[in-house]
Amino acid sequence: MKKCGIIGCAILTVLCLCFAVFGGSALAEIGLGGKIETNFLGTIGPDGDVTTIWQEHLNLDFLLPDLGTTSARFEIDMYYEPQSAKGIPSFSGDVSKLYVKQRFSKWHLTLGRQPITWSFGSLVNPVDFSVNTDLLQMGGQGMSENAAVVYLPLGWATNVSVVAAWPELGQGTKFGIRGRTNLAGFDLTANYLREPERIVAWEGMQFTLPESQRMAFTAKGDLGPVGVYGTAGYNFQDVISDGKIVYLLGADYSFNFENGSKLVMQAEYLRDESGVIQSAQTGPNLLLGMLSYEIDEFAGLSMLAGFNPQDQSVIIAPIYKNQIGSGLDVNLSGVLFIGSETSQFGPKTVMGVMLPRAMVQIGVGYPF
Amino acid sequence: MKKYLVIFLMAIGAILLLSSIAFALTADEIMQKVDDFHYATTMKMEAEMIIVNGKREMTKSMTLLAEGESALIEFTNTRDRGTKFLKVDDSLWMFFPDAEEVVKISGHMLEQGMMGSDFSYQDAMESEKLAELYQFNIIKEENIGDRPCYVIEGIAKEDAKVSYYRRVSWVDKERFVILQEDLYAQSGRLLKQTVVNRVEKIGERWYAMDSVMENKLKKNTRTEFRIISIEFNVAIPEETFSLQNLQ
Repeated sequence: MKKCGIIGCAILTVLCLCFAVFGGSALAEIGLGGKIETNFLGTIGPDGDVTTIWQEHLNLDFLLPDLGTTSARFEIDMYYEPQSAKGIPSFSGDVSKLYVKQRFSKWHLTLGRQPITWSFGSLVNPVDFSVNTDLLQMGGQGMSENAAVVYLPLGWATNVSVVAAWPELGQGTKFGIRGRTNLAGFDLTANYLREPERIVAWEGMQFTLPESQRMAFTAKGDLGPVGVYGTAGYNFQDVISDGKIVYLLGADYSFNFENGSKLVMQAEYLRDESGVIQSAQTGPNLLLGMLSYEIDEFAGLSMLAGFNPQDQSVIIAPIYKNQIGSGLDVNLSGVLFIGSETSQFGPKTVMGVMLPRAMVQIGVGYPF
Repeated sequence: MKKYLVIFLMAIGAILLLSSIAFALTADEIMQKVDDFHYATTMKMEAEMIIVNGKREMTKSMTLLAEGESALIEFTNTRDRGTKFLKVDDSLWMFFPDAEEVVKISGHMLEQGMMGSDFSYQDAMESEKLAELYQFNIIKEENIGDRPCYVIEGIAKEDAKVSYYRRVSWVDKERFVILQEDLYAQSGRLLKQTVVNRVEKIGERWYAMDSVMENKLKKNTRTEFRIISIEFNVAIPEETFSLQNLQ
């Protein structure tokens, strides 16, 4: 309820600011979009016990009009579980976007809560601004930061962006810089990231994460009919990282069938010797792949898989999507974890949470 | 007298016959006229695509800016709001509005249907003139409805980068706009067919405003492309076709 109050206050504050800045007539131009979803999540534990959760998700995207060279975004996500894992109704929310962007003649400045991603089209990105080890994006939205971003365009495909972010207020500044260019048809980037020492609370305990630094290069382009991409990153030595390289190589290709449908294939090899994604226990190597089959213009089937060659554990995630009726989205997805108890994808306890054997999600959503 | 009259009439007939031969257009000239009408230095368009499969359909609305070999498309329908594509030469970039990130799309995706439609990214964003890519010849003349047309076959030139090896186009003889087009693979297989339902005169040019494309490899599907508004030779700011403008 407290979070409901905070988000409600945020909405009212933004609307009042809009009224003050834009005036009543312009306020009428503010649109509202988003998506409403209902999801059923079922998990099968290591002992075969089944738990289920209903979750309602509302995404509200306030479509704010531009004011000359100034633009703003305000977007929130709200989750409601009538009966959470703890047995009581649970409400949570997150302001995923609340920022103002000013386009000056030679540079842009964006201030506020905003998504910061340094993606290059891979399935997993070990050199992102915030490294997300949640391979299947099962943990929610998660990429928004309270940040100030300076964007300096130097050509149509060349730019530099400098990011100062404050993930945990009062715990120092996370700093990143990324340069990007296009050379011989390849999209090339170089980035540097420095995270401050910070204290993280978990289950009543406090952990100190030391300061860390990383630099990385990425490339994406084509070799004939095959798309290729890769990254090489170096995590400087600290308590967690041994100061070794992390690199990823990937390729993608699409195949057209006689009946007009298509299959898109993507495969990656990750070697993380730094310990940031792959720990010493799991081993440095990870193979990932995705197959995506377009059934027709409205429906598609995907299969995401990960394989750890050291401990032979596997994660498989099939996904089925269909658009029915007048724009209703139906999603059916699952995750299967196969491996021994000590393996990367086997059933084990991580940070006090027991990983399941399998998960199933059935969802219906409607964008508006 | 009668003899001179016959000779005179024969001479007139010969002159008319020779005139029609002398002024008959070649296939290249016809397609050059088509290119002149179809292509502009710059273009600004608002359009919608209706993707139909059996009884199901979905509509994608978009705005498009094009200049030379560059094109920028932004989707404005609810489901895809904010999604943008930028094509510069042979490179395709996509802006993901949720993550607010720009990613380069692999080249093989250019041949795939744009947002699930029968129009590939290459179809939707191509900018080169047909006369530069294909060798044309006139097959015959035929009517499409009540419009007399040249039926012109084009075979891709040797080093041309094209999606369709062969194309057969029905070109309106008066308006020099393509009313129907069959697109073939090198194997000879018919891949796609476009039929124009409505043309409009915009300034000095006739333009196809409403067309339907069928992917002949699929059954019971089609994509209708309706232009809501279009302007040619508009002033487009220099930084429009750039990654910065995608974000």
